[in-house]
Formats: sequence, C-alpha cells, structure tokens
Amino acid sequence: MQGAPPLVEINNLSKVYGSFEAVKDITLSVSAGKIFALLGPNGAGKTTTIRMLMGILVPTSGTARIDGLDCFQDRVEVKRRVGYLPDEPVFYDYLRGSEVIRFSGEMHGLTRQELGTRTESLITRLELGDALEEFAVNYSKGMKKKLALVCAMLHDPALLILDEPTNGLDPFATRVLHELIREKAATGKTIFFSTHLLDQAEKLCSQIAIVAKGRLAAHGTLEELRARVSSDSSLEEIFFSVAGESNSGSTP
Amino acid sequence: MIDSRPVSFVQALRLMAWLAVRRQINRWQSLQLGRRKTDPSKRTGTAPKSTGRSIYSVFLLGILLFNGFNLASQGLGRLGALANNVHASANKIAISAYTRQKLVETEAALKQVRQLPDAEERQKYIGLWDRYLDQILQNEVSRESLSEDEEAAKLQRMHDAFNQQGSEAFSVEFGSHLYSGGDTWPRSGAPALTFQNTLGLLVLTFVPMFVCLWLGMNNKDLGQVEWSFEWLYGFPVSTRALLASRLFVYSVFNPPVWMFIFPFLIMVYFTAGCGFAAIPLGLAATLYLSGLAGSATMLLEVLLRKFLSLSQLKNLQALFTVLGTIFLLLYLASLFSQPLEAFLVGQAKELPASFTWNPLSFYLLLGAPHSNPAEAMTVGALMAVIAFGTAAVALFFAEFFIREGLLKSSGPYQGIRRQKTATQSAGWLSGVAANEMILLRRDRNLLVQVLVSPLIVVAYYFLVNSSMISSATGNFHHAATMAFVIGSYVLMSSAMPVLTRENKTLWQLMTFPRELSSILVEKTQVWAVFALLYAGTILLVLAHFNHHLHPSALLDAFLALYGVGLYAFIAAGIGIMGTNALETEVRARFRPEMVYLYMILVAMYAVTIYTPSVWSKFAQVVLSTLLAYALWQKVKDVSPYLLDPAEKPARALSLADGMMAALAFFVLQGLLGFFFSQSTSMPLAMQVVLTYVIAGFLVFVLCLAIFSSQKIPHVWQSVGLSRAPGTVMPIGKAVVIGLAYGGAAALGAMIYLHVVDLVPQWHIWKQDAEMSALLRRADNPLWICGLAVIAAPLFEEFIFRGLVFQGLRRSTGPFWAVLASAALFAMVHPPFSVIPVFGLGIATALSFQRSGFLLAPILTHATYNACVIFLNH
Repeated sequence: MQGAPPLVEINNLSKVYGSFEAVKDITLSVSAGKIFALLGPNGAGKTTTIRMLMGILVPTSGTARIDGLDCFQDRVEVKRRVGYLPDEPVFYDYLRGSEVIRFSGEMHGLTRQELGTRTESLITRLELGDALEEFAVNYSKGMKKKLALVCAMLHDPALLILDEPTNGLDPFATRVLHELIREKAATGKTIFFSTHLLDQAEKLCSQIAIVAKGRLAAHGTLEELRARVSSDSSLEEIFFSVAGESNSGSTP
Repeated sequence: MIDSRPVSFVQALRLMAWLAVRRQINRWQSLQLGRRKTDPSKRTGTAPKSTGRSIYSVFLLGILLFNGFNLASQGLGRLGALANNVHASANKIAISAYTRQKLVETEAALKQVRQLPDAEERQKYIGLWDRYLDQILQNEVSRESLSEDEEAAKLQRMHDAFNQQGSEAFSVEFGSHLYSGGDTWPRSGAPALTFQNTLGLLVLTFVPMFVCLWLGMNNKDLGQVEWSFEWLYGFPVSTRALLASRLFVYSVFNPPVWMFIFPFLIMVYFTAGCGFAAIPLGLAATLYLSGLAGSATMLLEVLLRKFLSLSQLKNLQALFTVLGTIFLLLYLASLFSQPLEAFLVGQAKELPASFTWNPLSFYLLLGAPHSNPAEAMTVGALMAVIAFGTAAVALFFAEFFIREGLLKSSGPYQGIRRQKTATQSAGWLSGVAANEMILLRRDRNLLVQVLVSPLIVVAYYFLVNSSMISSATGNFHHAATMAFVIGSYVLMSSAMPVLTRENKTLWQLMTFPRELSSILVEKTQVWAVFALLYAGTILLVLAHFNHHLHPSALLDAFLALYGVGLYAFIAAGIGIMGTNALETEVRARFRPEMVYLYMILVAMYAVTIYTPSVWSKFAQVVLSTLLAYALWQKVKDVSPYLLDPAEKPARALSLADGMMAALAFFVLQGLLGFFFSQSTSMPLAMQVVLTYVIAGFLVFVLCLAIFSSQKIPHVWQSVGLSRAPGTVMPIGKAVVIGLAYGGAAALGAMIYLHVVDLVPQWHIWKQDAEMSALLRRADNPLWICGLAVIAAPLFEEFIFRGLVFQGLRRSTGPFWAVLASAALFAMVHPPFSVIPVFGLGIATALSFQRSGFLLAPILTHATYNACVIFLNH
C-alpha cells in the first residue's frame, strides 16, 4: 500500500463564519486500510471537519478530497464510497427501523434481497433484531446510533466516517463496534472517526490527529506523538500537553 | 440537611402560570419579521429579545381582536334582525321598506287603472304597471345571493302572492344594521326569546370546540415520547398542585379564546344594552367557559395519555382536530352565512324558554333584557359554583387515575415487544416515493391536513355561499377552476412543505449518492400525482352533474389538470426557497409570505381557466411552465448549500433573470405607452416604436448595471456581448450566420402572409394586426424605420436570447431552450404575428447558438424586421 495515493486528503481546509474560525488550515491525509482518529475537546471543529468531508458544509478555503474526488463538487460520487454515522442521528417520525434500513438501501441502489443478506449478520451482532419493528423515533439513544451504523455500513463503503461512534452505546455494543472497525480495516476499508475518548483512540487507531480551537495541534502515529512530548506518555498526557498548548494560544 | 424547600399550592400555581406566559411571549418574540439569517458566528438559533417584535405581536393581536369584534357585531346584528323577522312575517314574505312602499303604490295605481273606461288604454296601463311591478320584485329578489333557479321560483311566488292578496302579502323586514348597537337584542316577547335561544344554540359549540382544539394537533407534545407534563412531574410539587395549575393555564392563558370568543361575548352583552358593563360580563362568561373546557381538557389529557398507546393517541388527536375545526367553522359560518343563520333562528323559535338554562348557555341570561338583579345574581352564583365544581371534580378524577403512576408503562415500547410481522410488504413503490407514502399513511396529522382539510374548507365555502353549487354544476369553466383551486390547496399542505417537513432528518438524505434536488423532485412528483387524483375526481364528479358540456370543456379540464401538476412543482419550489433548513424552531422555519405568493399565482392561473380567451390560456401556460423551471433552477443551485449557514451558491445567469428582464420590459412598455399617449400627440406608430426602444434601452442598461454590481463571473460572455476566449469565430462569419438565419425567418414570414392571404376568413384577423395597420397609416419618417430595424432588435435580443435563452441553456439542452425562449418571445407580440415571430425566435436562437455572439441574432432580427416592413409597402 506504499505507493497508493491516500484515500482522504485534506489540504489547508478552513471554515470561517464571519469572524469566527471554526476550522483553520487543517492538513491531513489518511491512507487506505488505516484507522484514523480525530481527537479534540468540545467545540474544536471535529464535527465541522466531518461535515465538510460529507459535503454538507462548504469549505471557505482549502480542499477536501476522498479518493481523488472533491468532497463538495463531486459529492454524489463521494457518497457512494462513504458511510456516515452522525453524532445524534434523527430519524423520520412514523418509520420503523426496518423501513429506515430498507429506504437507505434503496437509495444506495440495493435491492431488497441484497439488503437482507448484507444486514442480517450486522443486525444480529448489534442486537437490533427485536427493535426493528418499532418506530425509530421511539428508540433510546444507543439504539438510534446502532440503527444509523447499520445504515452507514449497508453499501460496504470504502471509507467509514463516524462522529463520536460509541457515544451512547452500552459496553456490549461498544465492543461489537470495535470488532467491526478492526474487521473492516483488515479487509482494506478505511475508518475515520472523531472522539474524545482517549483510551478508545489509543486502542484502535494507527493514526491520530488532535485538533483544538479549529487548528491542528498534532498529527501522526502514536509513536510520533510520543516522540514530541516524552517517550512513554499515554495518549491522555500527550493530549493535555498538546491541546493545552493550543488552548492557551501558543503555536505547536 | 435538605436544601430544597417545599412549595405551596398557590406558589406552584403562580410559577406554572408564569411558565406558560413566558413561553408564549418567547414564541411571539421569535416571530421572524424578515429574512434575517442568524449570524452564524454566534452558534445560536435563538432570536434575541427585541421590543420591535413584541410591539408587532401586540399589534397583530390587536388586529385580531378588532376583527373578532367586527365579526361578532355583524353576525349578531343579522341574527337579531332575523329573530324579529321570523316572528313578524309568519305567513308573509319579507321585503324591504322601500319595496313595500312601491308595492302599495302599484296596488293603488292598478286599482285605479282597472276602472278606466277604455279597454285599450286599460290594457296599456296595466301592461305598464305590470312591467314596473316586475322590475321592483326583480330588484328585491336580486338583493339576496340566490341561484338562478331559486330566484325564478321566488319571483313567481311573489307574483302569485301579490295577485292574490296585494300588498298585504308582504311585510317589512327589519333591516340589519351594519353594526349592532345596544338595541339589537329584541326587547320583548317572542323575538327576544328566539334571539336568546339562537345564541344559546350557537354557544353550545364553544366548549367542545375548545376541548377538541386543545387536545388536537396543536398540542404537539401530547403524542410525543417526551411529554412536558412528565418533566414537570419530576419536581417536588404535589400532584394536586401540578394538575390544578395545568387546569388553570389551560383555562386562562389561551390566546385563541381571547381573540375569538371574548369579543363575541362582549358584543352579546353589549347588544343587550348593558353598555360598558358588557366588558366585565363578557370576561366572566369567557372565564366560565374556558374554565369548563380547561377542566375537561386536563382530565382528558391525563386519561388519554395513561390508557392509550402513542399511535392511538395520535390518531385520536387527528380526529379531535377535525372535530374542533368543524366546530370552529360552524361558529364562524353562523356569523355570516345566511342559510345557516336562518336555520339556527328557525330551530330556536321552536325551543322552550328553559332551553337557555343549560350549563353551556345560561350565562347569556345575564344579558337578557328583562332580567332582574336577583336573577342575575343567581346566574352569577351558579356560574361560580359550576365552574369550581367542575374543576374540583376533574381534579379529583385526574388524581384518582394517576395515583398509581403517571404512565401505564415506561419506555418507548410501552410494554409491547412486537413479534416480527411478515415484513417485506411488497409495495411496488420504492425509495423516495415509498417513503412519502408510508409517512402519509402513518402520520395522521399530515393525512388530516392533506386529505380532510380541503374537504372541510370546500364544504364551508358551499355553506357560506350557496350559489356556488349551482354555478359549479351549471358552467364547466367554474367546475374546472374549482378543481384546479382545490388541487392547489391540497398542494399547499403537501408539496409546499416538502423541505420544511424534513426538519432534522435532512442529514440522512445528504448521505445518499443522489443530488438532493433530485430527491426533492421525486417527492414533489408523488404529491403531484396525489393532487391530480384529487382534482381529477372532482372534475369527473362535476362533469357528471354538468348538463351542458361543450367541447371547450375538454380544454378546460386539460388546463386544470396540467395546472395542478405544474403547480405541485411551483409550490414545492416556493416552499424550498422559503425554508430555512437550519432553523430548528418549527414555526420559524417557513416564511409565511411564500403562502401569499403561491395563492396569488394560483389565482392568476385560475382566472385564465375561467376566461374564454384561448390566447391568454396559452400565454399563462407558457409563463407558468417557465416560472416553474426558473424556480427549480434556483433550487438546484441552492440545495447543496442548505445546511451551510455561511456559504451561498455562486451567482450565475439564470432563467429567472431573463424572465424578470422580460417582465420589466413589458411593464415599462406599458407605462411609457400610457405616458406618451397622455402627454404627446405623436402619431401612433412613432409612439409604439419609441416605447419599444426606450423600454428596451432602460432594461438593457439596468441589467448591465445589476450584473456588474453582482460580479457574476463571465457574465459578458454568457450573455453574448463578448466572445468567449478560445472561440475563433470571426465577426464576419457571425454576420453571415446572422443574415442567413434572418433571411430564413423572413422567408417563413412571407410564406405565412401568403397563406393568410389565401384564406379569406383570416383577412379580418390580419387587418387588426398592429404592425401592418400602423405602418400603413403612418407617415413613416425614415428614422422610425431605422429604430425599428436596428434598435429594437438590439435590446430584444439581449433580453430574450442573451438572458432567457442562456439562462435556459445553463440547465437544459439546446432543443428545449430554443423552443421555450421562442415561445416566450412569441407571446409578447400581438396575436396575429405569433407564428412568424415564433419562427423568428427559433431562427435567432439557433443563430445565437451557432455563433455565441449577440451580433448574429441581432442581425437576424434586423433582417426580418426590414423584410417585413419592406413587404408591407
């Protein structure tokens, strides 16, 4: 995989609202088959970056590319390759879970038979089976996340973008999610997720980026980050030192 | 040591009341006055407090209150008059005083005339007076809005009555004053009782109306998983205090009650002659009624929530809304619908005096003209007793039922884990269409709004205006118009909110590999089909009852159906452009001005179905189609940016610009023409050409100014004023192309003129044609010809080819762009020259397409004009 171009390329990406800089000059790249974590405190710009990757927001400057396609201009093609799990999924009133899955599948061009085979194992592993006949709006928070996860993985995308994926999941579901992430990465899919759970990032990821106040504070593998601070610190200590620097305004 | 202190009953009441008031004020203050995108650097969607908005809300409330008084006053006046008439003219026909006077004179005159000796003279005078009589009776009958058949019947009846009994068969009806005064309530005797009973009947609807409306769909959180009462229940306040304060809030803090019923009751007491005492009396009565309704609502709310599942509850809510709306409409209709008023008064006449003593109506007795203080005090006391008694009973039962828990079961499953039913219901719809249909089936609120409300509104209009039925079945133009209007009304609640309904689920639509605008188009198609079914059914039903069908009926039917389909897209387009997708507060998402715009457009189209002129029908169809297309071009531009608060789509040349330029051109022509015709005495031909040229020039300059100020990229090239870099089209070649196409168009015109000459019947049409007539009569100075040949084409080509054609080309292929721009171009020319001008439009568009430079179509047009002018000499 050395010579392959990175799947996700973000170059000097910025999003500015008036005088407020939500995201400023972020440059990252993620190669295929890697698990990438975007860490940062609340309000750092993680969700804004992810939304720019999904074409929901338009970058003020800079580019974001997935598989060589611009995330905004070619967003329709990009979405074929991407599965998205938002932080707080909201579903239609009056639709059952099974119907939400069917609708998502049909919108990705899958027939009902294909859908059935793809989602069966996933639904069993996530223990969603019982609840699928209930209206999705009545689900608890964790169940909504699980349903959204199924919808994101339906079309077996090359890149999974997960925004705070384990937020609201119970320990069983969290473990299943971690297993799923590792399995997907092993088959060559790429995972890009944002979190503020540092131990989760430490366990799963090959590459980490730390953002604070809209800027990239640090970027690289865990070893590279350790080298910046001191040799044996946990990610937590690295985070506080790096993000703390940014928070107090000094440049990294 | 606990820090939380117990709260007394009264304090709890006060706090809950404050909560309700505060929420209502916040809601009023969030009224969006204009398109103000919330400043995205502040991450908040909450509107700041502003005195301006508060004043506006108060002003609105004032207007509504005033309307309430107005409506009540007029309605009561009419009811009073009716009450009097019903008794006065038991067997007699009621007519106006003037008519009666005339009838008396006629009777006397006829008596004299019959005694004339000469038979011939007698016949003559009798005939004269008969015709006079006919006229008077006709005038009298046409005062009411009756259908033709009813009018004829009544006229016949009047004639017979006059022939039999003379003027004794008629009695003077009590006129209803425009505004009721202190004496509208009849003072004594049977009319007083009738009036009282009528009011008693009317107010029966109030309490059920309140209860239904408060429990209906407006009560948004009743059917939600998160119920606000459940949240309040978590505070350390006694259940009794909570329930009582809920009751109190329902009774007292309900703006619709104060806007509609309070003025009505004040007017009732006012018409009884109570003067200013009417206000406290009205207040007491309103509080009494809303107290009853509040108790019932509070109890029902608790019971329903406890014993029904959420989806059953939502169904019931929809039913309540329908019932509540029916009651409200009945109340409003009885204030200005003559048949309903007559019905009410007729029924009231038969009722005994004790009818008014029922608990829903007896407070009216406070105002009865012959009431004595003792009776008034009894009534007052009874009111207090009943109100507090009902409240106490409601509280008792509510507490009783929730003593073992507020809810039957907790959690969203409500204790039912359903077995996996045989899913995979094989519907033949898939994707977006299937989704919309599932949501429609299950969302009872939406179902009621889309299916039932139009029916209720139509029934209401029939009730108020009884001649509508006869006109709809008598004249297919009316029927087709009605079908179109009803279809458009259905669209207003189904297609227009197509984006507003998405609310927070838009994110999921944006994860699919499809352009959001194409998903929205598909949704609109679903609703278009739906509305078409509605309109189609109505058309068939009305056609069945229509006895005189004409072949033009087919055209009307087609227009109506095409209109409904097209307006689905217009409604959705307007709705999408008017929705702020980022706004979470549902009420503030949608700008209400969009509804008015839509209604105006519907009215314009409806008028063209109604008029017999084929030309205006054609024009309207072309215009509406282009409008829909221009709207959706904008939608496609805007839809990727819907969820981004800061970015906007790049400004590009759109069809909308072209259409606005064409409209401005038209309007300016009209204004200038009017100006010239009033102020100067130039010959007509000169005036016409000058208005043409000046209007064109003004639009040209204005467009250039606007475009350069908006910094549209490549605007000069897209408009054709400069050549795109890289195209090596020498000017000479452009000139040749232009002339060639112009020649072709002129040839077409010549052929057309010859063909018209061949058919003698069409000559008259040709005589009316402006251009040839004017030029034949005019003096023809050379410079006028020059202007017509050179200047007019310049500006017209800029507008129709540079703007309209290019705007279309941005989104569609050359074929449709050429046709549509040629159609629009043809429409603004006089009817005679439509066909050759259409050909000219095609030719100029093609020459523009080939050369990319405005010079070519200008030459085409100039050639054509020159040939036509030359030919006509």
